[in-house]
Amino acid sequence: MKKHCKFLGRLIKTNFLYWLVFSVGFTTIYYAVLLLTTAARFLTWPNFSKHYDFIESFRLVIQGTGAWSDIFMIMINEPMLEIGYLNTEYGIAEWSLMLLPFRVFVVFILGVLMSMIFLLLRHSRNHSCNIGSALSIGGTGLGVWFSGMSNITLTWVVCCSTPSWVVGLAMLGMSSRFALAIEPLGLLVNLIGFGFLFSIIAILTHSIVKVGATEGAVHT
Amino acid sequence: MVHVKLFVVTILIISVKAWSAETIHINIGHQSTCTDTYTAGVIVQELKLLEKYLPKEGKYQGATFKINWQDYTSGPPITQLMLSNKLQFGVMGDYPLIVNGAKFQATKSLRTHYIAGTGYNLRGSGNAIVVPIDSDIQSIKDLVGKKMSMPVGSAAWGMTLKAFADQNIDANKVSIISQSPTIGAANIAHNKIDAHADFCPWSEIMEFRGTGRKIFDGSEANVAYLHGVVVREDFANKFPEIAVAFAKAIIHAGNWVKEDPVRAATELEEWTGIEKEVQYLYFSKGGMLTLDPTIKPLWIETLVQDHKVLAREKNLSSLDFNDWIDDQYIRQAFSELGLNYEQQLEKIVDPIKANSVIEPAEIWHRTRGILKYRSVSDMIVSWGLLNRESDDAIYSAYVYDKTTGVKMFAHVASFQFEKELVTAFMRKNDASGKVLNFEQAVNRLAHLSQ
Repeated sequence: MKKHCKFLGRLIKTNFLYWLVFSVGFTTIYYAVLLLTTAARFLTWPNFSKHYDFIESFRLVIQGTGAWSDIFMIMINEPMLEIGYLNTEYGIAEWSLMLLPFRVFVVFILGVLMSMIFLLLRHSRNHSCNIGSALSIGGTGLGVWFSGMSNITLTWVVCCSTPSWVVGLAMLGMSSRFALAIEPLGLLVNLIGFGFLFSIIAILTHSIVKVGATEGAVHT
Repeated sequence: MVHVKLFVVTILIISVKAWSAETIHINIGHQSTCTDTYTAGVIVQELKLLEKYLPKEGKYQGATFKINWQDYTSGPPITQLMLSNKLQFGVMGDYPLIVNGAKFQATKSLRTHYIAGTGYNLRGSGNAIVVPIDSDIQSIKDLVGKKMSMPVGSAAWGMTLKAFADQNIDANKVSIISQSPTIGAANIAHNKIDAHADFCPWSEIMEFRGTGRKIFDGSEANVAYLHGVVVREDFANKFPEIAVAFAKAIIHAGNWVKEDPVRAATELEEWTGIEKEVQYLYFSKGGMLTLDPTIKPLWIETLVQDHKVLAREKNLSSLDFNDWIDDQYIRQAFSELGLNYEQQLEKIVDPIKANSVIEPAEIWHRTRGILKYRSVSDMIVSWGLLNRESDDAIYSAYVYDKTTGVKMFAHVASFQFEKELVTAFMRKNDASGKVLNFEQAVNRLAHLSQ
């Protein structure tokens, strides 16, 4: 286990810039894609944005909540930015993308895990020990799909007035009745996604360590 | 020893002064587009009733109150902001109230309490299903294979599910989407959707504007429809006198409406933008809403049933009603105002019974105010005569549906002519024999009276 961690540490250290740019880039692209696909879906460009003082929100939540587990569960739903389309005739946001600090962090972690998988795959290829790369890419895709879906923070007047991951499903055509029924499963879907990604990292690392390809250049 | 005592006294004085100088923030989430919340919302806000009853003595001496009213179109955002400690009080309808209680009870450390009602309709009027005015749809059975919208999770949604179940309609055979009241009403006006179910007063707004027609009134589901107030437990425990003050303000607001419903309807139009004629339908004698802040045992039974629907359809977590419902503040408010809570608790207004003994028709005249009639036919004849004086002499006319006892606009009713007797019905199908719409009825009686 120590060997595995040491190897992963070296891999990140030597490829730190790549790792960071990939993770930040993934987060940015994730939200850009969400915004653009939603705008394309409804054929309306965003016409409003609203900033939220999330630091003050966090302060209020901490001040007014007794248990840390509750503080965490409430804070994860606090927004910092909302961009969307406002129906000016009725003064209602028809759809909006909410940026929630905690969710942004989770998406960033998703990017971190993805970049690690790609680093591991490139390392194994460079050391001529191609280890199930097709399977790994497939598994990564599934993991990113699950976690990516469950971290969507869109609101849609036809489905949910508070940001929810099921808006993505409803936009894909799922009935809002069914979408709302499965809303509480969001955490489970998220965990399944992360489970896939962690498992692939563990399997790839273990395979590299097993064949002794950890030594030498890890710069990919 | 003297120095020590002097020191302790000084510290105590400083502490008390510091406490007294406290600024107490009271943040209230309400809904100015939902008539049934007004006696704990927009009326209290506009008449500054909370300020009137806020405590000023004892530990509140010198305290500054900062009251912040925040207006929303539905209950869920209010609950979200109450969880975030940005709102202390929330005013909402029965289904959102239950979600509020359950969401708080799902946490380890936070709770809300349902502390007072605002108003109710025993039979469930207020919620309704509306179709575009020229639609062929006459009953909810005609909705099979059609597309309808509603604010999913609201009381109107619960009513629709129950109505489908009662009439053995498979809900899966109706395409249901969620929609906000404003956009739902616009879709009905532009014929973009087959039907829209909504809460008070949207169905009546659509009827008044001539864009929609009711095919199902909540009273047919026969489940009470109620609204109320929730408060964060930590706030109520720290400032119980403020919770009592809020309860007193609700009582005062209800009395203000009952004193003069025309004044209330007119002011409410100014404050909310919803037409006074629609407001009058709710707040007048025999109207759709009974203002009463007491928490009746029947309401608790209703809420328990509503919770079952939410648990089944939305996987809502459990709710301990014994812990959630807390009537101590409203009882205290009654007591401090010299009113009898127990007496009020026993009073339940059934619109079918109550409306059968009052004048069956009214006209709201621009200059003469409310004109009451002993029969529907008298009102129709009078309408014809008054309209001849001036095209815009009449704001609106009201009758009661024979089947449900619901007060409704005369211009959307169907009239059954049986010898000398004219009876109003909400749905054409409920009437028999010679059935005319309002315009036809006016013409027929004008012809007969000539």
